[in-house]
Amino acid sequence: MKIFNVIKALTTGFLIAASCSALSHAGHGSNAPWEACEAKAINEDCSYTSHDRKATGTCQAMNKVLMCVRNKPLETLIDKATQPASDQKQSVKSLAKR
Amino acid sequence: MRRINTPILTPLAVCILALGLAACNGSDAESTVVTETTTDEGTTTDTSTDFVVEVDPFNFESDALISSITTQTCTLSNGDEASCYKIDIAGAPSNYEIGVFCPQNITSTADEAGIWFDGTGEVYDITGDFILNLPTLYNDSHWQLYDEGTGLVNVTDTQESCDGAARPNVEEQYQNHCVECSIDYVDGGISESFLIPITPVATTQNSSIGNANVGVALNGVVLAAPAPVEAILGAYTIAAFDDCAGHINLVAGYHYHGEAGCSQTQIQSDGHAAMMGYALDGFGIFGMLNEDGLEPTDLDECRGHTDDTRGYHYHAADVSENMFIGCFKGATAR
Repeated sequence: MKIFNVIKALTTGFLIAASCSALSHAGHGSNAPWEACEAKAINEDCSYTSHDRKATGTCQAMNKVLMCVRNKPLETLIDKATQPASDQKQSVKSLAKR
Repeated sequence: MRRINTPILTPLAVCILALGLAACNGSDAESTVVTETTTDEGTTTDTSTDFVVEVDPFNFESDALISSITTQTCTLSNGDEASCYKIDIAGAPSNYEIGVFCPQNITSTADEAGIWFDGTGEVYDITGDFILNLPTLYNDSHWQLYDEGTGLVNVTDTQESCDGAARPNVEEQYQNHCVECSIDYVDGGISESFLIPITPVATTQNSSIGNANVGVALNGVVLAAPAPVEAILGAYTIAAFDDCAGHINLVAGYHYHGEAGCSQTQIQSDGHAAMMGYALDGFGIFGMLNEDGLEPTDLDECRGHTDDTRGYHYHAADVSENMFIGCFKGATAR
C-alpha cells in the first residue's frame, strides 16, 4: 500500500508541477514586467513598455521570480507620427497627473 | 490542493509541488528565478529611515477588527526581539459591500461586473465586449468564455466550481470560465491574525515579497502578493476582481491584489496621498497619488520614501500593476 501511495503521490506531484509549468510558459502577451528582468539581478534597473506607456524601476523578487517594480511615474509614449515636425523622435510624457 | 499524508513522501511531494507552484507564479520560461540565497540581497542604505513612525492602532476602522489589538513580544526577521501588535482582521471590508465580479452575458456593461488586470498597466472593465475580445487581447483563439448559442458567460457560480477554479492549478473542466466565489462560501470572511512590529525596524538589506501576504488594509482586508496571472490566463480563466481589486478564494477569503482606493480611509491634512494600510514590517502604505494627482518621483526600489510627517512609508503601485510595494524595507515578525 505504501508503494502504491508513493507512486500515486509522485505522479500527482509531477502532473501538477508539469501542468503549472506548462501553463506559466504558455505566454499570453502579458509578460512585460517579467521579461524586463530576464538575465538581470535583483535591484538592477529595468523598464518596459506596455499599452503605450513606459514603466521604469528596478528588478525585485515577487514569489521568487524577478519582475520590474516601477518606482518612477508612468510615462506615456508619444508616437512620432502625432508629434510636430520639429520633434520627430519618439518621446515620453509624464503620466503622473491623470 | 490535496495533501499527501504519507510521511516518506511529504518532502518529495513538497519539492515537486513547490517547483510547480513556482512555475505558476507569473512568468515565462525566460524569467529570472530567484533562489533562496539571493532573495534578500537588496543593498540599500537605511539613512533615509532614521525617522520612523510607530504603528497607530487607531488608524484601523473599528469594524475591520474582530478583537482589540493587543501587544506581544515577537522575534523579527533580523533576529531582534521586539514588541508587536497582534491585529485580528475580520477578512471582509468594513467600509463597503463586496461588489460584483463576473458579467452574466456578452451584453453586460461595466456597472454589471468587476475588473481585470494582468500586471501590465491596464485595468479592464469585464464587460460583455471584454469577454468577446479576449481572443484578440491575448492573441489566442482558444479563449471562449461564453456560450455562443445563448451569449451567457461561463461563470463559476457554485462553491464546487469556485473551489476547482480559484486556485493556481485550475481544474481542466473550468478552463474558459470567469472565476468568482461568493463570500458566503467562507462564512462572510476569513479572519486572520497579523503580528506587526510596533516600531518598524529598517534593515540594511531589503526583504523580498514572497508568495504570502504583503500587509493589511485599514478596512480589514488582506493585502496579498501579486496574483499569479500567468497561471490564471494559462488556464483560460479570468479571476475577476470587484471594483475594489479584491476577489475571493476558499483559502484566503476576500483579499486585495491591487490598490483601487477603497481602503484609503486615513486622509492626510497636508494633501499627501491617503493612508490605506500597513505593510508587515510596520511601515505605512499610502495611495499612489496625492490630492493633486501626482505620484512621488523619489521612491526607492521598495516604492518607499521618507517625509517629516510620516517618516519612511510606502506608496502603493497603480492597481493595474498587480502589486502594492516592491519589497520590505523593514524587518517583519517571524
